[in-house]
Amino acid sequence: MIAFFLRRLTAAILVLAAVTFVVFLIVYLSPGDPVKTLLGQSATAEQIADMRARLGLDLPFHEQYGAWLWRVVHGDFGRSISTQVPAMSILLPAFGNTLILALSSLFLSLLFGVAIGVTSGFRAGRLLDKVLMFITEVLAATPVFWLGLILIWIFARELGWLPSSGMRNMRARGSNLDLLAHLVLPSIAASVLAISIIARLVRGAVIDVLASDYVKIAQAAGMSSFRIFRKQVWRNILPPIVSVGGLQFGTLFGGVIFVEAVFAWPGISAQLFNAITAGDVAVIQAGVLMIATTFVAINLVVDMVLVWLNPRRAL
Amino acid sequence: MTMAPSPLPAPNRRPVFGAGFRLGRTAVALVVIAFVVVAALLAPWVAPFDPLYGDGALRRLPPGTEGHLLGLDAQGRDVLSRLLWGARPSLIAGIVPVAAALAISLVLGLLAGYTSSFLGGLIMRVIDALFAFPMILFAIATVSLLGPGLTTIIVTITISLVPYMTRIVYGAVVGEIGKGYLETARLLGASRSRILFKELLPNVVSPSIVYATTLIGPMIGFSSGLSFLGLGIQPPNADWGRMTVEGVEVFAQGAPHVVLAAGIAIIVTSLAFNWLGSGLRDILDPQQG
Repeated sequence: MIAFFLRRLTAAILVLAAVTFVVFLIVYLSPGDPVKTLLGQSATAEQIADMRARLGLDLPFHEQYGAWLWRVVHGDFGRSISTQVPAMSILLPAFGNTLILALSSLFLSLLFGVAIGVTSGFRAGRLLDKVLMFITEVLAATPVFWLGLILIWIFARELGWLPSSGMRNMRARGSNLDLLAHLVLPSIAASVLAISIIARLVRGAVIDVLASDYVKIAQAAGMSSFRIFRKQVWRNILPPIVSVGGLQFGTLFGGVIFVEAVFAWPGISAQLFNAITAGDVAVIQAGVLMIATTFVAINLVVDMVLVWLNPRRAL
Repeated sequence: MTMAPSPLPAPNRRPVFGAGFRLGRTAVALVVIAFVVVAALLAPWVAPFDPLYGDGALRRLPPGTEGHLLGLDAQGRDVLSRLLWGARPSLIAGIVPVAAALAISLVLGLLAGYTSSFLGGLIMRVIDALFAFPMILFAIATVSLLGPGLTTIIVTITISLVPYMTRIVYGAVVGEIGKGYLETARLLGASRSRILFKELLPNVVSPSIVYATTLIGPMIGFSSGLSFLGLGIQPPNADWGRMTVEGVEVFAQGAPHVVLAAGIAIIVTSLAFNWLGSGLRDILDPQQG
């Protein structure tokens, strides 16, 4: 198990190294000159050359990459070229907000995904199963941003139950209830695709377990459905739930970007888009690196938990 | 390694609906897809109005306004005409990158599964590394290189799908290895390229096509999302995602018809492709059920 852990950790570090290279390469190749943006149109060629030298932009590619990587490894992601604020102090609070949204979506995805999957699995082939699975199919085909707009329309505009955008109401500063109210609609929108994926997977796993000999024996012995679920089914569907839950967390992180745009959630995507529009290299690099690192870390943790649940996987 | 983190709905391992229902559903899906494709092709002739011409006097009028079946948008443009023209980029963004990724993945998957273990290992490790990138980051990267537009959407989706599809092709290739016909061909002195492309390829193509078909629907949704974010189709042209953004203006003024029309077009078309995909699986790849 230790060997497996080390192997996966090495692989994760290699992936991250590759990610840093790609991130740097993309920004290096991208059109638009940050120095001209910085100095404005009236800058003389001399001023531009001077600024390039000061920012180290005149060095060959590998030296620029090396210097950048060295700083990144030491936690220095550079400063925003437009505001001169360190990239991390722009991104970290936004990242926290994104994390709040992603976690609450993960919670909803697991809650509803497992509930629907288990219900459908126990009722396989019945009308309820068909209705639930049909709904998940339609939801899986519904674009996240569009669903967000519809939720805003119904629950914020028409019914007025919930706030339509942002994260906090200025007048209710710091109230957790206020934050929760702002979280409801974006979390639902972000979790719908994951709910339908988890529900289908759990349904399949439940059907498999129910068809197994030990469940048949338990049924023959007169064990109640609830007891069978608690004693037999639950333990056997847990690994696929962890697996898909972890993978979906990564996907949620990607999908959350659309949701943040619809609900004006002050997360990492808003900062990333501002940075792209402004050609703010340091912020783009740090933001992309942050999302990729989160991805890799989640996958690593999921792998670890799966091995812990079933040590044979490590072989 | 764990299974690929899929942003896409996995096929339902345990079929929900009976064979008859699934066959009927596939037929419905084919009709819907044929309808959308024909509408997109014939848009210049069947669209009642110029999709870019806005009549200031008719702004935001609801569906059923005389001559405008689906109403008008914030700039007084005919929603039905824009929907028909919008089918073009939306379909292209769903189909072209999936086909391109399929072609690339067939080559990569065959090479990885049936050549030297060094090359195979290298390809699959690179593929693993690509999984570390969320699709949206590919989009951001491509936009910062190429600028927004249909090309960006196509490039983004192609790159992001290659890892998923290569896994599928690779799995299919590994499943074929060791089967009698390959061994026979090899003993008969067939060249490696003959084995790869004449023997292996036909057996790997059908599960790959089945998988590819199920990707078209989600990609129509994803590409419209990119346009929604401003990374895709640029105004005044519109795909269904761009129409949704523009619909948001009138949406806030109590006229939801633009957003509804665009969204329903996306949902119905993606659902049709998903159903076609599961229908194809029933026919081409029955053991996967």
